[in-house]
Amino acid sequence: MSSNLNTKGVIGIFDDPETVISAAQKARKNGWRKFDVYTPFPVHGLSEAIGIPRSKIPWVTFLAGLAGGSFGFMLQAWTSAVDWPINIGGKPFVSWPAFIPVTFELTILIAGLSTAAALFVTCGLPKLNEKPMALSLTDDEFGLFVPATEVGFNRDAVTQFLKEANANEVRDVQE
Amino acid sequence: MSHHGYHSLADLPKPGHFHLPKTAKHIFIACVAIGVVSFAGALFQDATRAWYNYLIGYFYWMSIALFGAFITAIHHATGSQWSTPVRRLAEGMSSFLPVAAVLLLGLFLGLHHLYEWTHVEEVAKDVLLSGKSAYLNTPFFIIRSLVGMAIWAGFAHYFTTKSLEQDQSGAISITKGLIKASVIFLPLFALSFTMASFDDIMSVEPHFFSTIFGVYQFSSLFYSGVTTLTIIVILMQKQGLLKGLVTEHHMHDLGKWMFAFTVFWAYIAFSQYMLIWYANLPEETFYFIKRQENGWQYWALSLAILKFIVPFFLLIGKWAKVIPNYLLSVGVLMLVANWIDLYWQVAPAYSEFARLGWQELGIFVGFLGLFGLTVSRFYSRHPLVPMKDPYLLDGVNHNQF
Amino acid sequence: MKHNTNAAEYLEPEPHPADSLTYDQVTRDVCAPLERVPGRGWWMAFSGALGLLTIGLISIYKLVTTGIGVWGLNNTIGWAYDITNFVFWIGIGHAGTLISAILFLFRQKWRTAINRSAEAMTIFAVMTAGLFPLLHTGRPWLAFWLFPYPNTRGSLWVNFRSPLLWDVFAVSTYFTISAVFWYIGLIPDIATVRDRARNKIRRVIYGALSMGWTGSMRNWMHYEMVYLILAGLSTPLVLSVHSIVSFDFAVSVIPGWHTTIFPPYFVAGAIFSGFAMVMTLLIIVRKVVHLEEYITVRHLENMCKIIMATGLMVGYAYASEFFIAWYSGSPYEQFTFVNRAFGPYAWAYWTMVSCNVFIPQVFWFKKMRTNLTIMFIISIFVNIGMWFERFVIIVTSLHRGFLPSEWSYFTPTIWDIGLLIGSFGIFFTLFLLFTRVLPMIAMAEIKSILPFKRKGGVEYGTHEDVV
Repeated sequence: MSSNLNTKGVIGIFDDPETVISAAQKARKNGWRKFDVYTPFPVHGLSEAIGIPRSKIPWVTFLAGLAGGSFGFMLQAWTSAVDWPINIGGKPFVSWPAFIPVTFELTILIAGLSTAAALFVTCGLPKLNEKPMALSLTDDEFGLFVPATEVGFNRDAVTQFLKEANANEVRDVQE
Repeated sequence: MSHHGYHSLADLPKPGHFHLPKTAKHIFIACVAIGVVSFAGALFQDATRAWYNYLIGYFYWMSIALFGAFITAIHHATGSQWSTPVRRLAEGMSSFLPVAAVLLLGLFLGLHHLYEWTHVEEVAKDVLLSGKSAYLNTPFFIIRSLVGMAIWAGFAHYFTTKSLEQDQSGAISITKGLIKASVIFLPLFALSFTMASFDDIMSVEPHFFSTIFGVYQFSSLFYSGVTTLTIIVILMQKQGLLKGLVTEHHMHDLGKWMFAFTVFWAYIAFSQYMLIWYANLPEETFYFIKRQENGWQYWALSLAILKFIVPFFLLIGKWAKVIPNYLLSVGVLMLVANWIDLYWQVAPAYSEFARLGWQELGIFVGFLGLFGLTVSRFYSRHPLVPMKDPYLLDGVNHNQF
Repeated sequence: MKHNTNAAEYLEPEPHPADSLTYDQVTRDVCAPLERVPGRGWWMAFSGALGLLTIGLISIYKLVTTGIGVWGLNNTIGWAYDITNFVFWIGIGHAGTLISAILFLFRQKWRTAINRSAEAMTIFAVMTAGLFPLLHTGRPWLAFWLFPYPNTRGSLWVNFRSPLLWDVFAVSTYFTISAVFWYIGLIPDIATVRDRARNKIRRVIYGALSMGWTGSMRNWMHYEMVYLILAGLSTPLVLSVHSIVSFDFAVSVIPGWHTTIFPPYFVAGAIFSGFAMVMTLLIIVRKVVHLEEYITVRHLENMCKIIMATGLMVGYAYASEFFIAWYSGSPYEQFTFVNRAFGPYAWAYWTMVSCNVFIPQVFWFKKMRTNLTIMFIISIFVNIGMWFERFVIIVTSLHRGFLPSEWSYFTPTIWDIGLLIGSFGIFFTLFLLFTRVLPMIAMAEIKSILPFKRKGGVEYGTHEDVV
């Protein structure tokens, strides 16, 4: 048990996506919920295997877009009709057709920036202090990582599990 | 989502055979009867009103049928795979084109009621109209309409016949031939449909002109066409006829197209309206002024709300595109909105005040019945899915993600 | 990539990069230009670009210190090269967004080979384009007046009813969102470069740029969603940008400018010209940095088809403008179009029509669509034609006003020409630097469309079999 204290977890390195998918499926069947897989590209079918729920970021985009659009329209109406109304070309102060383009652009701008911000927040970026577990995980290998905080974590059992799942290499990850 | 997909054409489930349910058939026949009676009644009461509703019914359903041919051509020309399982249903939509050709002949009888530019005495008095008379005159109109219709119905016939032939032989050469024909059809379609838009719809206000008008009608063609196709797919699925061939992924894609063209129509409609509003030239603005007063303003407003805003918010989520009954209801709403659009473009040319009566509803319903009967006849006679199409396997296995 | 006997494969093989590629080879090939000393070809191109850039900088210096009087503008023709260049470069940018966003939504997997460089092109083209309106203000250091900010003059707000202001919002939104989209696409690839770095400086720089991306699947899942959303937002955005550029002209009452088809017509033209520029660049770049295996002739052939289709759309717009000018019965409209085709600028008009409508028709033939020399020549013609399109629209409509007393002719000065040449210098310099410091091909995306493989390259199965 003492070895668990300074161990962050155990990682198994796989060299093809198919094996890692089936390993992830088995890990999920074990009742594990906190493990993660590190991959050089989004492997299709893997997030289902791990059991990650669909991202909620679309809601951020939607609400930010609504906010951006409303802000854009009100800004234009307020500056053109309330704060300093100026008659330009005989057009009404609140010329809604003329306000659509800027309203639209602000909808997109705020929605897009919020979406990007939401990505950084949900992924905890930037995380510059985090050391990569293996350099090959951004190249051509796939790492299934079981953290020490995983449900019913037992170093030896996990190591055994990963070996049986055909991992090329299994090792402890230290803090 | 972990379905493994099929590995060969032979593994695919067979589509069911379509039989139009008796009640549906009776409803369609009743619709046609209502249409004929309404048209005849209207003809006695107010011939112009009868004819412009006829024009609307014709153009509305012709566009939907033409979408069937257009999307088939796009499918071939772009080498699409996902749409293969629903392509036969689109081909079925285009089977209404020969009926539309007959309806077009009928329309020629009403030209004098419909188009101011057919009145030779009035054209002579009007500088602008006499300037256009080299284009806007009855014989040339008839020639253009017939040539356009011949192109549409001819190519649609070719697409369908060849596709049915492939059901037997499975020959890849057929797909190759269809690709060539589609590439030729698409530019011809662009020209002929633009002309039809100018001729049939824009020239009801012969003084009005707008270069985007063809694109506007095209956006409506796609809008109503893809909605109709989706509705047909859903109805077929409800009868269990496309099991294993058309999946949630296909529904999601069709829903995306409905959403995309809701936005595209709004973009085109806004561009046309805003540019004319902004430049404020009387030779153009009269068109919209007429359509913004005497009750027509409510039509304009409902158009913006029902054709764009409501479907936009109803269709924006992913969930919205994969619940069949929900998508079906939104589709019906969109088809109604598309009719409002066409009515709002045509009717104010003849009627100073907005009105809606049994003439409008009756005649439109008649065309609906005719479309339903023609298209369901096609579906009941032919397999619902091109089972030997080389792209079908990839199309069925199609996965969004 | 199905591996069962399937006619679709045989019919139109998907232009994927070669199937023999392994993940590691993709990494090595794409990172190679970043990790070696540039060759002679790159240095020659770079010094050429710097030469053009110098001409541009001198022209800008002259312009800013003297005023826009150094241009050939006059009272009648107040817009000429500057706005032509602006619209031209904005249009170039559109292909990048089309490839990265619209083709993504259409699931055109072949785009993965070219999207990164096309997106880079978008950003550099928009930067180049943005220069022209700024310089045209005459006092670019006051350009912040274009934004609505509370100020001590009232506050005197900007005029939201002016299409020129819509441009400010459209172009800055377009630049921001394109840059964000591009950067997010780059993060995983920068992480790859970071993990290959052999020295500390590289590791720190690329490490910071990658934000510490680890490739965790829980992150990938959000990442893919965000990428999809940004593609969804960029698609209407790109349509809006060139539509708003077209509004600059179309809201006016100038014959030849005020016509309702302008928004979709400008968008089609932008995609058309942008694709031609992508093609010009890629034909050179794939050779210089040895990426022929990734950017294949099939990719270029697909682009030829898009060029031909959009060229036809542009031709459709020319034709409908002419027809409606006659149909409208407006003598001003009719005069403008006859004057375009047969007046003093007829040479420019026919250059435009030939380059944009007639010449691309050779792409109907497969032989022509797969011949690199022909493609290169035609892409240059289209670039020229599309520059002339904007010139024709702007100058021919202005040079014959409603009153004959204001009729005039525009002749560029050397400063007009210098800035046009210089704009290519800015664009190419930035693009060449990009090919040195960032992965030119989206590695993660390419890997995700390769068949699943073991490391050694033994084929194992495909995505579709698993998913």
